[in-house]
Amino acid sequence: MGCQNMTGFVDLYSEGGTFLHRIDARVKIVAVLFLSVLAFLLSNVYSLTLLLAFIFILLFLARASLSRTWFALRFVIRFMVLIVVLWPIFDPSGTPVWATFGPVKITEPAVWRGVTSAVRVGCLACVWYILMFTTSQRDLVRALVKMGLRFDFGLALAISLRFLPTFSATIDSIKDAERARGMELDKGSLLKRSRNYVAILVPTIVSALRSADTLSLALHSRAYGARADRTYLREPKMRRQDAAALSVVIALLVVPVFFKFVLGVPL
Amino acid sequence: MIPCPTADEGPIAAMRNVDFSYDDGTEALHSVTLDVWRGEHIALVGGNGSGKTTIAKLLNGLLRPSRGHVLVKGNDAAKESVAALSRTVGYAFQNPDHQLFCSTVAEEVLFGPKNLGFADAKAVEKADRALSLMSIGHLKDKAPLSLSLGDRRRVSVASVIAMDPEVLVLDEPSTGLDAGEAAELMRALDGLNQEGKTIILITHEMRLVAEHSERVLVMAHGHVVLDCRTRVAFSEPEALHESGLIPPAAIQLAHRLSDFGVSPEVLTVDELAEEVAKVWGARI
Amino acid sequence: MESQAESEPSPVASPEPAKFVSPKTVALYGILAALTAAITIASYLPFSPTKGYFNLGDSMVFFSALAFGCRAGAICGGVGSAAADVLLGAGVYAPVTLVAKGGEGFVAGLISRSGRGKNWAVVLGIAAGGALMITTYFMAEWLFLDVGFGKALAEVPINVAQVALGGTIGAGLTHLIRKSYPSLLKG
Ligand SMILES: Nc1ncnc2c1ncn2[C@@H]1O[C@H](COP(=O)(O)OP(=O)(O)OP(=O)(O)O)[C@@H](O)[C@H]1O
Ligand SMILES: [Mg+2]
Repeated sequence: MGCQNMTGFVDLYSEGGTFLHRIDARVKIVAVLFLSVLAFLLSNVYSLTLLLAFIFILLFLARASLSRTWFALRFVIRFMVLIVVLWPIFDPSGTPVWATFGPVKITEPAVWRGVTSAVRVGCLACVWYILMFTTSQRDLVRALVKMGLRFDFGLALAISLRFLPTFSATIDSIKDAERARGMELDKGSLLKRSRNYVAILVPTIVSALRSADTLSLALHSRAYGARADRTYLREPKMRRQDAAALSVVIALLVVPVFFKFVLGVPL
Repeated sequence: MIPCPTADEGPIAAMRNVDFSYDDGTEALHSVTLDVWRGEHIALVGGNGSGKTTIAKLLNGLLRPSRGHVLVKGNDAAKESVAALSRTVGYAFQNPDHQLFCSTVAEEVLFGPKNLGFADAKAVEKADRALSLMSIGHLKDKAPLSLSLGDRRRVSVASVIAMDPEVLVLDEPSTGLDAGEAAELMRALDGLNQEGKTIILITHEMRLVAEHSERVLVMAHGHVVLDCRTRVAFSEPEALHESGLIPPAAIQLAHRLSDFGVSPEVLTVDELAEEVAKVWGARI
Repeated sequence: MESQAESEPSPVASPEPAKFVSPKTVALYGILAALTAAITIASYLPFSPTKGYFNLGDSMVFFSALAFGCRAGAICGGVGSAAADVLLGAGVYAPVTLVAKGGEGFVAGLISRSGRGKNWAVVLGIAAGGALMITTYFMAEWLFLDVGFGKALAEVPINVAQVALGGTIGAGLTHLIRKSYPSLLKG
């Protein structure tokens, strides 16, 4: 699996020079939100499929590597299949009836509703990946702060993203240490395994809380919070192409909404 | 103790043409071949990232070779679990905090022997011996992670000694200890070596290597670049320099003084003092 | 959205101290959220038919709540679990997770603290928080994501198991750490 290293840590982002990588992260966040809203507003399976296809084209343009895409899609596809299978079983409404198994009636409209919902969930899931594949965690946090997230919360978020791989590595190393001392982690009853799990968590948490202490001293010593109007070294600036992308994104939401709710086109 | 490779007993642990790559593609070892004989006192040295920890983890099965074989007591380690291998090869982790997870020092040190299935009395006996060897008996009821770094280090070493493995691999055990504590630790290890235990010491401190180990394995970029007696290794410091290793001051001084008739083949301050006294004695 | 020209900060005169939360809190919350995400990801088993994973992240949500109170439980539980969703490729769930796990941590912390950490309060807090989390996921899947009743229902038993196991481990952890390392929990 390309995006999962030794420590089990996952980062979907990969560097690249596509226009999706270069666009201001704020525009991408707005795009994800708008496209999600659009997915909720559309109720016609064809228009939803079209939206899904559009999202896939964007993913393709973002040069998402195959292994990365597969890692992400594995989850989505299983998810969509389950919706399609389970929906008609619990929804006996409508005609024609295709099949009857005892109390379970499989009807054509229910199957279509299941498919529609599955495609919508597919859109909602994949649209995230456009953002995640093309935006580094650092840019993401910076964009959130620029969009109004309080600086201190943004800092906490940045800290947590920074420490995530460290802790994943710590957990792995502690697992190794327990194995090296003769413990078999994945054997035994559920209770025994949970107890093994606690043995992994205790040192992880203790060392993590220690680093929190050290970190707060470091923040103090670097004048965190000295003044509210702090400045940033790299201010994200909206450039012309960002503005253009933003207008496209807005149009993507507004045009279908106009057709559906004003003109009454069944989208 | 002088190692004596005998014909009827093969090496207690060995690596044959071992390559190892981590999952992210980092090639950590290239074609490493080495033999470890029962009773040896070996130093495994090399710069940061040269592959020392990787070798240690391969020897006790925490990592499995990408190519080649690891042999423990003549058997292919690939067929055995880490738990089984840990009876023979004990490994004290580079970071002691990753090895401490019980709520008291006593439990911590008992954890290994109990997992290996020693009867209670026997397990307690082994644990107590390990505690006294590391002179941390008085810390028994303390929470391991609340101790000082030096004490945490000693608890983690004790917890491996308690399992009574034939080969002890210690990953930078003197880090965080003061000079006195380090000397005490090394004395304890020498004692275990006298009893017949095999010691593999991973370290950056060349003085400890010169004073305690009989054999040196020098790693650089995943290769074993030097494998010889300690005295030989330090008598030609060029090879060491190439791997970024600097001999201890006593040895450097001996080399500088070799023009004046001091033998450069010394290892410790005591030996240097003797040599200097010999040369001076002759002059005066 | 448009970038405004930032007014130059005056170099000396009366810099107003920011009304940020204390650095200790920022560091602690960041670290707890990271722990929650790391443990969620580490305990990831491709097991659950719905969320794509059965995890023990709840143990950290409960730990944050029981050890540091409802605010820590809400923020670290919510943000950490949502971050894990995003990183694992279940980003579509992140907003739901933020609310569900955040609520879980908030309620567990609130009840256990108002009962002064007595055993009954801890159990009640975990149960109530867990119930809130399970309900939130169910309602969100059924009504908001509109994935169908059956699909939403299929997740309930898994979440119940997750709360039972995560709650037990979280409470155990809090007890252990409070006993052995009391100084770490003064936050
Ligand atoms: N878990 C891991 N995943 C990927 N690469 C790793 C991992 N652990 C170590 N490496 C890499 O493998 C190489 C050898 O690492 P190793 O830890 O064996 O070195 P070392 O000699 O023990 O170094 P040090 O003196 O710093 O402890 C290094 O390049 C290191 O970056
Ligand atoms: Mg190392």
